[in-house]
Amino acid sequence: MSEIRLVIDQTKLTYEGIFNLKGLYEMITQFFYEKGGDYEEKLNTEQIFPHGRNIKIELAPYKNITDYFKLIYRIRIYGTGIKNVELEQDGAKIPLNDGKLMIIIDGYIMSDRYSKWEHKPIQWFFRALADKYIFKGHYLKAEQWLMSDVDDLYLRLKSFLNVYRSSRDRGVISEQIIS
Amino acid sequence: MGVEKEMTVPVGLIRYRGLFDWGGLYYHISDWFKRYRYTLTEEMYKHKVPTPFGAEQELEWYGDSEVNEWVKFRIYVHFHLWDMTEIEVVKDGKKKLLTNARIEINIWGRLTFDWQKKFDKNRFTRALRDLYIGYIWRRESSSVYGDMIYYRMLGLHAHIKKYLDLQTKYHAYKGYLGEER
Repeated sequence: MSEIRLVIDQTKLTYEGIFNLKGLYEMITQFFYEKGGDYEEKLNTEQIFPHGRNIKIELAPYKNITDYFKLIYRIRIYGTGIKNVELEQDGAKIPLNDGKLMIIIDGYIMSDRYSKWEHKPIQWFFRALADKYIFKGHYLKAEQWLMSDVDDLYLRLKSFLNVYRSSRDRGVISEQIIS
Repeated sequence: MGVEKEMTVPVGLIRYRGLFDWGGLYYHISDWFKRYRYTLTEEMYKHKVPTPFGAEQELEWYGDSEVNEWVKFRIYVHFHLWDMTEIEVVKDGKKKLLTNARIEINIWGRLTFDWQKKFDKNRFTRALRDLYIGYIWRRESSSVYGDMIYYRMLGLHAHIKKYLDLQTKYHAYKGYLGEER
């Protein structure tokens, strides 16, 4: 097993109110596509109950930045009681969702991604030394890269969800739920 | 450690609970395999005696595609359904039989190199094969063919999500391989 270090531990974002779930998912996947990452969706659960939908999504996109380092993101989206609502804006009906959301983001750095340095104890030892002293600068750059990506995604998520909140506050989206 | 002749590529798990058209889903997935020219095999079909909550079904499919004389793809789809009950719904004036159940769909794939076993004749040819897969052709095996099977399966994953009308049916990596049919 390659060495995996946890760098970002559970950055959370909770939201309750009106949002666009399809748009949110689209934004997250598009984000990684634009950044040139590979995409993995480990789990996608959707349960329909009388009180609304419950969703549980676990994404694990990753990016191979060098032959040695790999950035792994883990995004968990938990939604409860999500109902479809239609809001009226300038005479047009917009299909949106109403419910609770919780998004948790973790970030990891994997070193020795081809698992080349672990077949013998001596190789393992040299890898630990190299990670700690020789590749320290590279590791710090990878860490910076991961943190900036997660920061960027977190800000985009916040502003995406706040669009609905602030537009509702400003009265752009009326509070009248049609269905 | 020997060189692996096969590579398993997992994609993801879809779980859904609610009303859906099981017959339609069955048809759509088999149609997807047909469209990409995979020979589909239904390896297992289990139907358990229904309980008061409903029936339980388990299916396992795989589709084979010989990419070239060296590489072969196999895509596995495993279905598991619980608490299956059939409900008659009237849509646009027509009666339709839908299924209310919990469904779990797991997709994964397998890449096989030297599937014709041309290099399996003696120890020397096997060593040549290991050298080819392990060193000369190592990058191509994971980046070219590994990516190809992965993103094709991701397409199937998105296809199923779209059919079940999940909220997350958007597929950002559509067109990644430039071969969507």
